[in-house]
Amino acid sequence: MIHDDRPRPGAPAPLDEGTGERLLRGLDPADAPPGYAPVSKVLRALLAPPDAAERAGEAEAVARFVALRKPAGGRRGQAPAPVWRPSAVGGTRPSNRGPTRRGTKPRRTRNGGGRQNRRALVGGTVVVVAVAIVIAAGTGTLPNGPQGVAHEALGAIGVSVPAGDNHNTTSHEVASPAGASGEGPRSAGTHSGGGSVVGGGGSSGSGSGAGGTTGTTASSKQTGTTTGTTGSPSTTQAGGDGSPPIGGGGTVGGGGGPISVTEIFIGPQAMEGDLKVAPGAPLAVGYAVSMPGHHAAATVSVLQAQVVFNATCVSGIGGGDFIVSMGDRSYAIAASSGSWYPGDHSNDPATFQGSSAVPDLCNGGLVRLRLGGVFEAGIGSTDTTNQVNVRWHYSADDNGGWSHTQSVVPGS
Amino acid sequence: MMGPSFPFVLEQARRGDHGAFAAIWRDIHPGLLRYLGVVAGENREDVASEVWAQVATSLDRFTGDEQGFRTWVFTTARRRAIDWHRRSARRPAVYLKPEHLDVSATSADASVGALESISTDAAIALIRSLPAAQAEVVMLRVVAGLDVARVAEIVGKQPGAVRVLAHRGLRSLAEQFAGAALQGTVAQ
Repeated sequence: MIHDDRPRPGAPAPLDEGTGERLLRGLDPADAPPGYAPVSKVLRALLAPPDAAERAGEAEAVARFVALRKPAGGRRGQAPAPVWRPSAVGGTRPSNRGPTRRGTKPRRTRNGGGRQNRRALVGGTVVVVAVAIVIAAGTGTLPNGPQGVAHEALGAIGVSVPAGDNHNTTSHEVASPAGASGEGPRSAGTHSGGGSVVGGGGSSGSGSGAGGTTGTTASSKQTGTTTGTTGSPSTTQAGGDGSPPIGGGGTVGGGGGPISVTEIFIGPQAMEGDLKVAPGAPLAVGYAVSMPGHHAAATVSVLQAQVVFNATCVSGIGGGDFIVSMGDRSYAIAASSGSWYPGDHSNDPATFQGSSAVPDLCNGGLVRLRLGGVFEAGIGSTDTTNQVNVRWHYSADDNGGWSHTQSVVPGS
Repeated sequence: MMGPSFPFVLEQARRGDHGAFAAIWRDIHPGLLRYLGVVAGENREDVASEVWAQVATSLDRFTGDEQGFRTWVFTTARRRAIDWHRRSARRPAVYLKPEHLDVSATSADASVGALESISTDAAIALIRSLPAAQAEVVMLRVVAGLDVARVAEIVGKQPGAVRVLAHRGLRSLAEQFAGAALQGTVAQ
């Protein structure tokens, strides 16, 4: 192909290197120099979230990976990884708008068999327990006695953990994450509760696997700081081609060790009935978590939380799915506290962790949310034995009743 | 990009954890497919399949950080695409020019408003209309998220040459849009 660099009539302004670099990094079309806004749009389109076709080959790729990683002769060359992966508790991701299937059993990892694998699994379990203890110590959530021992033992090797004479008795929210990475254009969606329109008809969601998110857990009563990295909860989707859902991986705690994350889906549910909102109107979404019964103090993380709404139009054709994101949050839950965090009341502003303007899906007409939405998130906890209750709500007028409550044991 | 969690996820994948491999796949595959859409055209799915097979078998030999991993994957993809081209000895011939889009405005700047949205496939087709080297560099910078040095490593050129190619690619695209807008003016 012959390329001609000579300027044409109406040619765009010269492009300096810095602007070119910003264009390549996803410069907003509104900030592009004269003549380069269409280029910016093209480049940002290249960074659009993957569509269903681009996500379709996952099952096949994973199956091939399993086959290729399995040595010939029936003996595995390497010890299997301890199963820290989250399971798909709560059902599969709704492919579009049908009811969510619940109770899907997580797919078990191929573990082969034999003493060697069992030994590796036991070894891995010991490592997990040890790491969990270190994390718990770091966050000051061990009982007083063990916390003190951990304080001295880990202090001897230069790891600062709380002494254990005080436990957190109040909730503190740990906002995470400045560095959450998504699948969209890198310069877009900098607001905390981003909304994005999803192509109607297809399953929605970012499809991002382990979007690295750095969460810093800080406590007013901690002497140290625990930094954890999160692999995002994977979005599990029912294979439209009949393939089984793939339980995705997600771990938390790269700084001190991994803890488990389990995906949860609640809905679709329409707590606000036949809600009609004008395009551009703010729509707030949020959730609350609690730990019922007797339990140790724990830090519960809600990762990559979002609600996928299914909108129709009051009149005329249009509508489609759109997403309101809530990012990542962590809540320190006091021992045996049955309270809801960050709040119990559905009109508590703290319980609305995200908001977004309702997109214009109906050519300027009212958008109807009669079908409600589906709440999706990865739930992680330092406590992998006790259940966490989750419920969500949404509102266009500061009210917004709660959904039904769904329970999950992170890591189960 | 996975960020700080990448080393852990990679290590898990090396141990055979298919969930970790799936996480890596989900993170890289869409961009890989888009890149291959430019350099391998209609063969992109087959090439991508070969790439992931090679990644699966060679995972233990990889050392490096996330950028290095992406560089490795895209280098592998480039080589596999070249192999496909050798076999088929032709480059996909379906191109989409800006004039195929609905740019019915009266000036280049006004065309911005007309081009309200563009699909990813259309964007890939537009990039493919660029000279091959420019198209490849633009795709590696954008969809692979790699810096100039990494892209230079993949395409076997000096970093300065990569910058020039990307710059020319962007300018060429802008000129195509300007030309399309001008045609719209003439037509009116």
